[in-house]
Amino acid sequence: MTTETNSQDFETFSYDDKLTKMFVIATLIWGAVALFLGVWIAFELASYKLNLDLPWFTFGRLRPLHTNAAIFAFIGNAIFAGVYYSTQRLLKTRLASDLLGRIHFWGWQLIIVGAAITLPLGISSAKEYAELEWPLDILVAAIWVTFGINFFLTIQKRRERHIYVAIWFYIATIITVAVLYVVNNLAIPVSFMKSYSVFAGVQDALVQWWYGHNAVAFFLTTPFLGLMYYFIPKAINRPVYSYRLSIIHFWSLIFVYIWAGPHHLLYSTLPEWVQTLGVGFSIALWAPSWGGMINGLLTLRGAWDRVRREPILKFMATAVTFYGMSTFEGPLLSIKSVNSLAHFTDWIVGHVHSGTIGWNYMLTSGMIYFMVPKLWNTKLYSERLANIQFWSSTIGLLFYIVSMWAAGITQGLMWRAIDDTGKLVYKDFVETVDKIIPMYWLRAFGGTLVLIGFLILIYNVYKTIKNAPKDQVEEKFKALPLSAVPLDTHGGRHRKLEGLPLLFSVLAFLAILVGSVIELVPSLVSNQFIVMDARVKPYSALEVAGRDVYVREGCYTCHSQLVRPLIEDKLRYGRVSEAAEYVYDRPFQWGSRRIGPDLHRIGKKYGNIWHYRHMLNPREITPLSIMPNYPWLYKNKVKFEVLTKKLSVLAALGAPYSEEELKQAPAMAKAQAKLIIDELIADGVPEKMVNKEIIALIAYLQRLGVDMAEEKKDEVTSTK
Amino acid sequence: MNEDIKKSKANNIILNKSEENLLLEHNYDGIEEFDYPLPAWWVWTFIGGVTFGIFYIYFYNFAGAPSLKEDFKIEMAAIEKVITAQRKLTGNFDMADFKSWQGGENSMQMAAVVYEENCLSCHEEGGKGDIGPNLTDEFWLNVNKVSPDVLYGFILKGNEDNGMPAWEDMLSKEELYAAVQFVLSVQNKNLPGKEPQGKKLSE
Repeated sequence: MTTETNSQDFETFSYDDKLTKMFVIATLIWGAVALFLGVWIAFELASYKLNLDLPWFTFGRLRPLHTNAAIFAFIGNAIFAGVYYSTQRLLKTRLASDLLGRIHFWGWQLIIVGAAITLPLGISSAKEYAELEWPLDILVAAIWVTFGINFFLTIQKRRERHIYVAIWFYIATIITVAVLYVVNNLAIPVSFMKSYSVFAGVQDALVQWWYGHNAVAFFLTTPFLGLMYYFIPKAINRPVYSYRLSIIHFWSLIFVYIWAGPHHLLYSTLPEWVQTLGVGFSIALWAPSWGGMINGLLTLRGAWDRVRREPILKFMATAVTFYGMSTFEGPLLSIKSVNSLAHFTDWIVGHVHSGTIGWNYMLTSGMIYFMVPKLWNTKLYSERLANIQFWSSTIGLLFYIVSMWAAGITQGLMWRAIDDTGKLVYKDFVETVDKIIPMYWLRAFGGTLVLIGFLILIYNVYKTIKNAPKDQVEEKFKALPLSAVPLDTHGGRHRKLEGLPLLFSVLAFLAILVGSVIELVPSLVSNQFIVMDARVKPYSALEVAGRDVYVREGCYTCHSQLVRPLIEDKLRYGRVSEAAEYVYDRPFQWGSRRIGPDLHRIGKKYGNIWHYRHMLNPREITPLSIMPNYPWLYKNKVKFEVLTKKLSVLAALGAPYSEEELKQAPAMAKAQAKLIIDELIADGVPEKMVNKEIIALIAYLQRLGVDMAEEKKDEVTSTK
Repeated sequence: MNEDIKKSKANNIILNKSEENLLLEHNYDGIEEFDYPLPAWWVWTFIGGVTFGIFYIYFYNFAGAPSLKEDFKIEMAAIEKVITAQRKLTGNFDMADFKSWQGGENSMQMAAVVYEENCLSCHEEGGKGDIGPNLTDEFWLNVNKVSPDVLYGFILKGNEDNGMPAWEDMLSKEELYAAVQFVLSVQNKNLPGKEPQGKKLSE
């Protein structure tokens, strides 16, 4: 870097690579944990027995742990490793603060440990990829801001006048994730580990999927595009293909992406104009996404022979290819007719994993193979093992994607199959589950191959580090101070902007703000999008207790609560859901996957004894069911004493409980439990079960979707 | 060295003449950038995507395209016609038709299959009852006579308050016959199971 002749003006500096090393190690450890959890829950779906009849091992609790571990622990640590490594080099400066870097590192690991403890305990706010409860949410926000401060201070003390495209993507990431995370997790605490979302029902759904979709955009995509722009040209030692393409696709990507969240809520009770905005922007997102793919792949152009030989380049080329595939699949899935088939099926699960494994896992692996020998000043232990990992992971991923396509399309078609007498061909939901069990085995097998690949990576890195020289000294670099680096005035307006990082950041913030404000604000500030219905009443105290059990057990990971305006949903589940029915749902529990049937019309469908038997052993009632047993609900007691507090928080958020209902909440809950147990006693249930959680859960399930039931009389499915 | 090729400054990589003019003076940690023009197909994809998006949003919000609910209403009306016609068929119980079905050689076999697939989960093996009532004793909750026509009528409409679903839209006429046939076949077996519920009926 110091090719010019030496002069007095040159400043000497080194990079804080120790921090990068720490994040690399954390990436490897948490990556193994996240992938192992994924494999475990994949096998749980293939064989329900692996739920082990233990609360901490059920799919409903481990699935949120898997997703959070994969996104925030595995991929998160990989982002930080890559960002710290590349940013210092791209800006020719050491990090602004080693200390802030350490706080970031240890704070982040603390959050992960907190998640690993709380999620299996069922401490969950039940919003997908945002399940952590409020104390951890605050910690996440604080640590993220620490990261941001250190990053922007580092930009401040740079010795490179203009910021490179990788840095643009990092800026967009840091700003947007902070906004998304804080808004989506706004909640009012009930106790140290329990809170209720400030948003309810449809509004909660809108905010959640604005967050959920853009977690994919700004946690799994933009930082990785930044990493791609650094590590691909470094690894292949070729110039980036097109500077002007990087400008256009950067700005269009961050501007367009933020709008597309509502495509997760098609056919829901979300106002239709928001749904159509989501679809329109999803289609428009296709080319901006592919801009990144083209710039990545065409940078590799002219050196394909090396891509064939070198594992690092193989991983990177594969990552970019899968990025291109999944960003084509995304817009495709947002088209209504495709969505009505694919939504709630495993097709979506396959789509997500072609992004996370195909793009994030692959690029992370390539990046680690690139960085580790440089960081530890040695060479890679084994290229052969790296190749084995590549093939194991790639083949595993193909098994994963193909089995999920097959499972998703099969189940989607079975759900909608109607014969010419107007009857559902597969009226028992479980038939459609049983059909795809072989695909679950294949998926679990594919996932295992991906995990094995990752374990090989860990071994390879371990051996590499072990063989590294013991006396590691920080390399010194020299560069002119920023004051001696002139602004490039011939490169046009954008070139100038690249010299003004603060203005750049403000513009990036505005770009993500426009879509957010236009989509969210009208629906949040006004209730005119929800036709209120006087028949819909808040949950009783016992039902609130039951709902919290539902939330704790992660029922939403397998059951939706949304009957879409589609014939197949109407015939199978009953009356189409309406926005007014959800106004007291904090959080909303629409779910995103129907591994089991929708539950919005479960209320009063079966007797109490049905639920009582079913939760204890679902197979006693539905022999082919893959649902876990929930024996602990028959031992745990309802905490009646906290119900006044819970209802008070809900009342503060707008639920019209009377003073009496708040004060007498525990007594009223007990009275309702008594009514239920009196009925169950006739069926042989012992009276002492009256204060157990199962009774509260039954109360909640029996209440689901019944408030507006009168209308049902006018409809054909129950005409007399 | 060939005259047409030249090395880039930073990386010592070999560039051909056409690339040389596209190489910008950017250098970040050794990373250089070309300024290749945007691929035409990509530009058209971009324009196409954005145009489609705008058209889509306009079409559904301003051009009077049918909303999801309107679409649903139309589709539902069509299927309701089919269902209503089907209900007319299954709704009438004709004893002669039932008897002739009952006389068929597979009726008992079909009764067993239909029972297992639809009724067993609540009424248990052999109709001894569990979640649903015991079908083998003399006590009845929802019918006042154990005869094919009464049983048929009850199974058709169910009783939501008791947790018995209406089967009219789920089972075909023959399957409903089969369910009736099964219940008739276990009469007076008095299997030990769920204790008696409802009124005692004597045949």
